[in-house]
Order: sequence, then structure tokens, then C-alpha cells
Amino acid sequence: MRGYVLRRLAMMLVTLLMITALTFLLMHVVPGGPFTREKQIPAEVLAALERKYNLDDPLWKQYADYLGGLLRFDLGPSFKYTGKSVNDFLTAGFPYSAKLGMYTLVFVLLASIPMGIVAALRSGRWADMVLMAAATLGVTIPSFVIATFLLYLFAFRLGWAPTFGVDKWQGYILPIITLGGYSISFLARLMRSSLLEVMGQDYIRTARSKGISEVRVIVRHALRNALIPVVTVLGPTVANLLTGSFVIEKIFAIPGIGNHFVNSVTQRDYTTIMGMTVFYAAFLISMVFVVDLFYCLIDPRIQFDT
Amino acid sequence: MTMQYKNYDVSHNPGGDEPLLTIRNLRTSFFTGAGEIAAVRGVSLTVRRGECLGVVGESGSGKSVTFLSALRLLAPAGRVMGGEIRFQGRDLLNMRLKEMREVRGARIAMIFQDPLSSLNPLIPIGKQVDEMLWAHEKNLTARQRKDKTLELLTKAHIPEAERRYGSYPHEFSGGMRQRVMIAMALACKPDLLVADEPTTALDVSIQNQILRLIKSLQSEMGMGVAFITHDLGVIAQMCTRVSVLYGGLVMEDAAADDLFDRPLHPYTEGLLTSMPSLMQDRSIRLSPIPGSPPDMSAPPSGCPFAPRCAHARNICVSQMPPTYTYADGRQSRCWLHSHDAPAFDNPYRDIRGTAVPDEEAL
Repeated sequence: MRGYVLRRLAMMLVTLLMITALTFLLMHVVPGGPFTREKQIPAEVLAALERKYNLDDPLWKQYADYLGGLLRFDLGPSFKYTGKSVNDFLTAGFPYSAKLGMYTLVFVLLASIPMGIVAALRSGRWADMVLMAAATLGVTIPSFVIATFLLYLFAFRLGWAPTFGVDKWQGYILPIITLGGYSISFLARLMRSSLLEVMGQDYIRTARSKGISEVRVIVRHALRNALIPVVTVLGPTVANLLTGSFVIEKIFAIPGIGNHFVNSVTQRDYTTIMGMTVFYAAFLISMVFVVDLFYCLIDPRIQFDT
Repeated sequence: MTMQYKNYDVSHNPGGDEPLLTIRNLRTSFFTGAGEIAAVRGVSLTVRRGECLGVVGESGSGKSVTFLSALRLLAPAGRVMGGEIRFQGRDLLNMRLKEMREVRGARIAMIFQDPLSSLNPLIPIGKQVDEMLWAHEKNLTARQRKDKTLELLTKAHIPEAERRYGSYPHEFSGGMRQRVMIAMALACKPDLLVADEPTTALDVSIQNQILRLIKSLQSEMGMGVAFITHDLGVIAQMCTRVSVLYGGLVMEDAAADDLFDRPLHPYTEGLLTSMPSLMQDRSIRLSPIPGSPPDMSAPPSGCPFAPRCAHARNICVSQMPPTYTYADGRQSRCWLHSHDAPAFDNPYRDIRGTAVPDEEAL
């Protein structure tokens, strides 16, 4: 077990290193730089700026310097907002994104798993059809369309929720629904197909042949088996929800980190691009690792030291 | 070489005649995208107290479906279309689900072909046996249940039951898993054990151990056993009576000794001659039955075996033969037993016309 964890942690560092190298390289391959303007900056000013941020160093040295900072958890200064560091963006924005993400995660789990169970147990009947039609809509309709619709109906027409901001708890309702829509639909479908498959297994027939109630067959014999694929996708889902969404944070004016993800790319804010990518990647890798650890709690067939 | 047909009386069957499970004219179909598949088309058979009935047939002959119908454990696509199933006089097909659950496990227990897929992979085997007691013996405490589970595991020849109680199915060998299934099935001392090809997934030496275990526990507990298999060798070892199924119908029903002495249906004969034997002269080639079983989504109107039968005549293809019952209780569903069947190329010419045909409409 301990050997496995250490091995996995080492692998995670290698993965992270590869991600930073790739991002760094691609970022510099793209034409233009952080100080490219429509109006030409005098050559001397540009040279001075590049010297200040060490952009005149060879690429390998820039990368090495960046990694050095990374070891000290220093993601560097923003090239676009003078006086701000990438760490500032994260510490200011992440709590908002994470809080919204946590609420959404709870909502997603409470909604999607029961939906999937009901749909599977009523497969082919109207409850299944309705739920799966709704799930298909949830997967296919983009979040900004859902957000606009929700805003129009609940904020503008009915006035039940504010149009933006999260200073009151009501402010969370619409962002949660919008952010969770896709995950709910996706997980509900997964739960349904997984449970349907499990219900056709031989050991479910065995359980029924014991004369126990159908509720016990489902709860004790089917659900845990059916949850295994759901747990698998939970890692990436958690990472996605907690690291914020550009669209949703923009629409509902939530000061999270989702904004920086997109803006930094269009502005060639090298350090912010790197910082956001490293942060998201590290988060995602950790979540996948946590999920893998969860497996051994759920499935005794999975052994670590093999 | 036709052997002389011996006359046995019904009382030859050990274990008496008290019927435990009686299935009458059972019809079960599966409804799939491709239409109706008539898996069982009028099966009648009886399992008596204390006896071991062998139910033999190729895959798809309807043998498993017959007993899954009795326990109402069919897959959602399956439906019983007609017939009657009585267990100790009670109507299984029409009893309430709650009563059915009291029968399942407690009065009729089942073991299945593949013990790995039939055990829940996420639950320790001890707990899975324990659940059977939990479901039916409500007066036992958790402690008593555990003691009894350990006793059952030991009885099923699982060594170090105490240590193995918390092990998971994947940590056992195939034979050991089947022993767990047996311990589980016998936990509540059922009156009937349905063994659905319990040794098919095991290798031969393990198979023999499992068969002997089932047999010794059967005689110890005095239960009836329905032994579903496609292996006539297993039938010879285990069973007192045999029902031969083909195309969703019972083709022949006889005491096991009689059946091996002289089969009264061309299909049974085909099964016997296609079975390898250690005693047999190696220069004699095995003769498999030519052709393949009928397509049950469009079952033939005549005898389902007719297309593969060496003795088939016109009537066999066009009309379903009735079941002929001889004075000693032996049954065969074959036109060759009719009193107007020709003597030429008729393996039953010496006895034809002495049996009574049933008057079922199919």
C-alpha cells in the first residue's frame, strides 16, 4: 500500500512535468507575446520589458527558472496586471470557484444517482423515458443557453433568484443548476446503464433465489457494484466543477478563477497560462489518484501491490 | 442389436412417489426485438421427494428456463405463457410474491453453472451464506448465524472455514466457490435443490468431488434434487430418473437405469451414441447427431427432432407427436410408438402400439 502510494506520487510528478514542458513549449510557439500591441511599442521599450521579465533568456533557461519557482510554489508575476502575481489570482478566485463547485458537486450527486437508479429500475417505462430525455437535453444544450433560459425565467420573470452575484445564498441556485446540468445528465446516464448491466448479472439472480426482498437485492447486491464506473468518472468531474467555468462565472458575475483561464490565453499572459494549467492539472491528477484509492474501499478485487 | 425391453414397476424408484414439484404443460417464451422465442413449449415433469431427477438436453432445449420459471426468476424478457407448477401442492405461478420469497431459498434452493459470476464479487462469502439464514431463520441471533454458517462451510468441505469466512469469491478456486454455493443453498435445509449444471464450469476431478458432495448431502438431508445437465455421464452417476428435453419439450422420461438400458426415443439414442466411454473399443468412432437444434423463434410444427432423426417419416415433420406412456410409467414423445407405426426401420417395433398416447392439443 505505501509502496503503491509513493510510486503513484512519483508518477504524478512526472506527468505534471510533462504537462508543464508541453504547455511552455506550445505557448512560445504561438506567434506574438505578452507585449504585442496593435500600436507598435518602440523597440527599446520592448527590449527593456523583455529583459525585466527575463524573456530575452534562452527558452530552456526560462523553463528552468519557471520550474525553480514552481518548487517554491511561486507561479510568478502576471504579465498583464502589473503588481499582481498569479498566486494572487488563485488565492482570490479559487475559494469562489471551489465553493460553487462543492455545492454543485453535492447537488449533482444527490440528483444524478437517484435519477439513474429510478431510470434503470423503470427501464423502458415512462419514468425512464422522461428522465433520459431530460438527461439528453442536459448533455446537448450548452451551459450558456441553459443559463440564459434560467435567468430569463427565474430571475427576470419570477424574480425568485438574483441575476448575478453570490453574496446571498439565493445567488447560488442558478449557477449550481447551470454548472451541474451536464454532470447530472452524464452521471445519471452512466448510473442507469451501469445498474441495468448489474441487474442482469448472475449474482443478482442468486440473490433473488435466496428469497430476499427486491429492495435488499438492489441496495445490498446491485448498487455497490453499479457505483464502480460512476466513481471512476467522479475524479475528473470533481476537478472540472471545482476549478471553475469561464462561461458560468462570466454570466453570473462570480469572481472565480474560470475567467483567468480564458483571458490569460487571449492576452498571452505567459505566467498566468502556465499557472492556471499547472493548477488544473495538479488538481485533476490528485482527484484521479484519490478515486483510485477509493476503489480499494469499494472493490476487494483491486489490490495495490500487484 | 436391440436389447430386450425390461419391465420395471414404478415402485422401483427409490424415495417413494410423493411428488414434490409437479410441472404440467409449462410454456415459457422470451420476447425480444426479433419476436417471440418459445423456449419451453409444454414441458411436464415431476420431481419426487428424495429422488434425483436428471434433466438432460442440449443448450437451448429449455431445461434451465423450466426451473427458472418455477422459481419465477426469469429475465425480464421471459414470461410464462401457460401451464401449472405445483410445489408441495401449492401453486407457484399464482402465489403472492411474498409467499414466493418464503419458498425461494428456504424450500427450493438453486445452485448455478458458473460459481464465480453467481456469487457477489464485493461481499465476503461468509456473509453471502449468512444472508440465507438471515432471510429465513429470523429467530437466530447474528452470533448463531455465524456459527451455523461456519458449520455449513465445513459441511461443504471448505477447509479452515473460520479463516475463509471473510474471503471474497475471487480468492477461491472454482471448486471451492461451488462449495460455497452449495453451503448457501443448503443453509435452510430445502426440500428441493435445483442444480443447474453445477459442474460444467469445473474440471473433471473437481467435478467428481462436487457431485459426491451433492449426493451425500442429498441422502443426509433427504431432499429432492433436480439435476440439470447436458452430460449423460453425470446423470448416470447422480440420478434415479431422467427427463430428456429437446426443443422445449420433454422427449423421454424414464428411470435412469432403463434409459441407459434401452432408450425409447431416437434423440436419447443419439445422445447415448455420441457419448464417449472408456470401456468402448477405440476403433468405434463416436457418432454425433447430425444437424443443429431448431430455431425457437420459429419452432417446427412437427417433432422438433425430425430434421435430425434417422427414422423420421412424413408425419414427424408435419404433426407434433403425442407423448406415449407405457404401463411402467416410461414416456416417449415419438410417432414410432404409435400402433400404426410401420415395423420397417422402427427400433420400437416390438413394443409399438402398447403405450397410451396423451390427448394434449399443442
